[in-house]
Amino acid sequence: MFRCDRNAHAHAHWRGIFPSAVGLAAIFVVLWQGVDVGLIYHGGGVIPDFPAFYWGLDFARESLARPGGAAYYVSSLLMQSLFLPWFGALLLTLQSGIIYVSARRCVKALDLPAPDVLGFTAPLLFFGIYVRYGCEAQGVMDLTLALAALGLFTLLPADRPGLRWAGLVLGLALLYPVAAGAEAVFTLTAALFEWRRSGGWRMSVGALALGVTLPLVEGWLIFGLAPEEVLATLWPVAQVHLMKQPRGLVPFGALYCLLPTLGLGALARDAWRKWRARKAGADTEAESVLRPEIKPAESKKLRRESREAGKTQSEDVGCFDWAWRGGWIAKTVLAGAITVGVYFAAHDQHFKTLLAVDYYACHEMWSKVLEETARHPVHDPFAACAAAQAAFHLGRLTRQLPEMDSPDDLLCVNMSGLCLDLGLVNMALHSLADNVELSGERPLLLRQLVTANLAVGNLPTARIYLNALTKVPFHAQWARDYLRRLEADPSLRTDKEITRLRNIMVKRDVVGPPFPTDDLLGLLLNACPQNRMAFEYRMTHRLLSKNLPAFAQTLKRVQDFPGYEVSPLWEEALLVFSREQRVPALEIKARFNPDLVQRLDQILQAYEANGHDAKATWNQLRSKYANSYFLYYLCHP
Amino acid sequence: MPIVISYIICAIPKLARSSRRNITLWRIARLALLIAAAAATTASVVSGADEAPLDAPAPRIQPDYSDLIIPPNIAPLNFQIREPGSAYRVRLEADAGRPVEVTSSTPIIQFPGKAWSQLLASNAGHSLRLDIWIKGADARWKRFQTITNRIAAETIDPVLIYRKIHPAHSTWSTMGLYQRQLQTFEETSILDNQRFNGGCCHCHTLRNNDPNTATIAIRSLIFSNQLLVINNGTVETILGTVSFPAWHPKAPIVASEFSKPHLLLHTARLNDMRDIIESESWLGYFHLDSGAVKRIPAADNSKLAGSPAWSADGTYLYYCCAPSPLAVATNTIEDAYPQIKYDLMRIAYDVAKDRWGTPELVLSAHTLGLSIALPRLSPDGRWLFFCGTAYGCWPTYDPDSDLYEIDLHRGGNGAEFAWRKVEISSPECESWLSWSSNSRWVVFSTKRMSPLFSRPHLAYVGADGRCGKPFVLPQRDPTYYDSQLLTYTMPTLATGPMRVSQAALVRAMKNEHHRELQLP
Repeated sequence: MFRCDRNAHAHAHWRGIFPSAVGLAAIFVVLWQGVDVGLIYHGGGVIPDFPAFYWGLDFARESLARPGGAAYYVSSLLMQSLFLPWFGALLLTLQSGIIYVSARRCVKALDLPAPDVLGFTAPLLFFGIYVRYGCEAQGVMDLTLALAALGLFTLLPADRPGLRWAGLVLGLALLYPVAAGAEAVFTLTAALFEWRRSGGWRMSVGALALGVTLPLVEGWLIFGLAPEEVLATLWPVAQVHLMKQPRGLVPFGALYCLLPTLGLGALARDAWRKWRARKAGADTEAESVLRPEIKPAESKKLRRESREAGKTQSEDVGCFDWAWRGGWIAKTVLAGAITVGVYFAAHDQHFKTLLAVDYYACHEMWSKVLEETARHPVHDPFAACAAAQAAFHLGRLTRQLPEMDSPDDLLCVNMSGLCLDLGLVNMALHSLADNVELSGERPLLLRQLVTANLAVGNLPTARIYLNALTKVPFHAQWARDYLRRLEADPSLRTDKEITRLRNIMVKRDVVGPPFPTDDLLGLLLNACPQNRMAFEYRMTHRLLSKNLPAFAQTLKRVQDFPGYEVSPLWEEALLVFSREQRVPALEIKARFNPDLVQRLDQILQAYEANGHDAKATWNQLRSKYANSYFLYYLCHP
Repeated sequence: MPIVISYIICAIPKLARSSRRNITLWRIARLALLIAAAAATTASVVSGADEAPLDAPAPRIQPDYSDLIIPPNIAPLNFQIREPGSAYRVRLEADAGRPVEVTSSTPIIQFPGKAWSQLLASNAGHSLRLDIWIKGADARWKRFQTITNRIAAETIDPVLIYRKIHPAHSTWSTMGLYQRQLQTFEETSILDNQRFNGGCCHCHTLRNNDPNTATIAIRSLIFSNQLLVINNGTVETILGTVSFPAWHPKAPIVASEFSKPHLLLHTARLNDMRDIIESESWLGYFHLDSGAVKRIPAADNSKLAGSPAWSADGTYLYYCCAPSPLAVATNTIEDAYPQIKYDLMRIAYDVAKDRWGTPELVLSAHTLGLSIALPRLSPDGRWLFFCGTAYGCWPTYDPDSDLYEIDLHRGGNGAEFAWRKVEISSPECESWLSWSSNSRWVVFSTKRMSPLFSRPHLAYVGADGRCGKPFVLPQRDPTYYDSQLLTYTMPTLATGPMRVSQAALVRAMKNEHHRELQLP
């Protein structure tokens, strides 16, 4: 009989936590595969203030020297795990699990209905931050620790006010140095919880008073901060970070407000019940129900009873109070569905595409860049620029004009990867310096800084970046290997990438801004006439800007590339040039294909037929001659 | 000798087993022998050292703390030994006081602060000898040449104030003003820009090295550009944009440059692609009580004037001045920037009558062959250090910027002053020099350790103006600079710590009741 009860209890227990477990598993899968948290690690220059982390005492000492430093240190380390998306997703899911368990425990302590549903709201909001590609790592870690502390606090027995006072003081005292940003959440929720529990207003007011005074005292004694400085540290997000308009702020704010709001809701419900009971003339009864007075003599007995009752109560664990058979299955399905639903509701495909395109471009996965931009077309100069870069590497840049709002978008000097690819090393250095300021000391940026500095022969600076990288998780080995290579060969003559950059980088010093795109590409070609990328980019830029005389002029440099074949797109441009400028084909050493001439005539006829209406002609012929330069030249504004 | 003792130690257990009568006695004997062995080993190291050949190699240490003149109140010069070995032993000794010995299994040598300070304090004006032994793969200790540094008799100002920032180009999200106790490694933040929404704090100036009479210039999109004026524990702000403010040494008057700087980027300059050129620049001064700016008759409108610095007695304002090629409408910045070369000028000032004299040429750019920037006068009024740069007035980004010296007691009265390049210069950029209040020490920013990151270096200045070998500001971890991604700018020596709290500075900045600079 006893065994049977235990089994039944165990089954109920597992059935209870199963829906939540499935919900968390769904969070893991979606974070890994749907959101792809590795993109947050990458950042793409659009996610500001990614936390840097360095192994060693210096970083630990620096982190711990400020309020909430422990949470900062742990959250910075946690964010490094996003380098491996599955691992990062797993750790974030574990963090959401802690949030769930703690939030659920608090909801139960507040006597609110459906603790599973309300408790699961917290990990869903947490999940929402990452679905929006937010990077509020420290704020979230602060809250996780505060919720865990609250969960533990609610476990303290109701009949031991001394113990609760001690717990309160200890929690508040620890939270300021460990997770200062969430101290307010802890204070408010603990005060509301105490108000409802049994201690009456004394403990609540005490909690609020302690919540204000303890940080002030600790801030002054431990960190030497003035009162207004202490108050500034109690905000979960720094103002300077808010100025950069970080993503995921709405779910982040909601997550911070969740428990205090629920606590207030519980208070309101109590007041309403009390009012109803009073109205029914049963004030005393209501009072005893809401605030049971526990005499010390009875407390031991009560605790024993509650322990015994605990087993029965725990059958409720994880239930939405759906007692019907199979209800837990429905709950499980619902938990998974809600998680996936949150993903689809909050997901920003446009932003994800931008991040993915930049990630693929930085990792030279060129076909993936084009696939991504084809699958999710985005109207963005960075994406267009990356697509053009990919088109060059796949040999398509000369066959199809990239879609650009402005011809100058072809060479976006803010893209350090593109600048390095072309040989604009100084532009890359400039862009990287600004990116480090904007996005934080991201390892990818530091690695590019190493490459760029080595290319310009700035070895001591490259060594500093490499030494910094030896303290960064997942990049230390690469940095150590590079340092060893540098020791063996300081000139790095055997390094293909460095040698390539040194050969093609600009040699003539010109100052700007502005740096006209055509001039920059010209500088590259002057430095290295065999820089095929610069050549194709310059030609494409001239096609995009319809500067055909310059295009025809530069086409002569095709002899610098033995075996180079002029593409049909370029032949079309030459034909337009020949017709427009009345330059005989022979003079520009071109022999035009009759099909080409015929195509031009067809497009011109359509243009005439549409009364020189470029837009109408474009709409009419776009599907048939999408890759034709004739059409672009006539119809593109 | 140690081998013999070790043999005896090994033999003791056998003897103990054989007698079994007085184990405790044997144990005591063994302990005593162990101590003797350790002492003998130490002695052998030292005696081995004494027997080391005179042509022993010089040890490679980083940072290079050899052949220096150091202040008697400097923090331990911890270093890393760049020689292979399995154990390292360092002995630091001077004529008086107890030697300091450090043994380490790693090449990182860190001296105990208290013993270091005592040794330096009791040997001011004398030599400090550093001996290094390294245990090689053959388990033998090898001694290197003794490094001898000299402890100066004169102390350096106890606090160094500097700005730490990423080598940023157009944004500044991580930046702060810090102060460092030079006798220890304690660094505290004076003003962190995270506290005022990521603005820029730049150009801090102290009056007579006093940190509690100082100005800090602020650039902020939110709180506007302003000058924080710290005066004996109170902070006031004056709205307006000033550059290179300079306090009069005896009156609450600030001279400043009012300019329009342009950030230029080079496509092919290797070490630092940045450059700053001023298209417009004039000198003004204002009384801190009124904020009404008056123009200093330092140069006419066709010229650029900047980098003001008062003489120690406040009777002269030194500044840099150049004809502006941009005054010619057809010239562009790109064509004009290499032609902008500043002369060093000075103009007399009578503080009582608020009257200016006529500008005098101190040293022309033509004579020097370089543009002159950032003049800095020693508090004793004898020396003037400045930066010589290829063009312009922003040596921070010029890899060729070097430090030069003028002896103000030689020259003048219509003749140009005698000048020379100071030996503390390096092939990389030097800039932002600051004097100690006793005129015996200077600190300056230099990129000699890396062409991108500035590090503060200290150097002794002798009575004859000759400088000692400069050395980098010591850190607890001697490898600190190897991976430090922030650059140090504007190091300034101070006679004590800045007492004003960060909160007070931020409060003043956010206060809406500002006075405004009234430009002429």
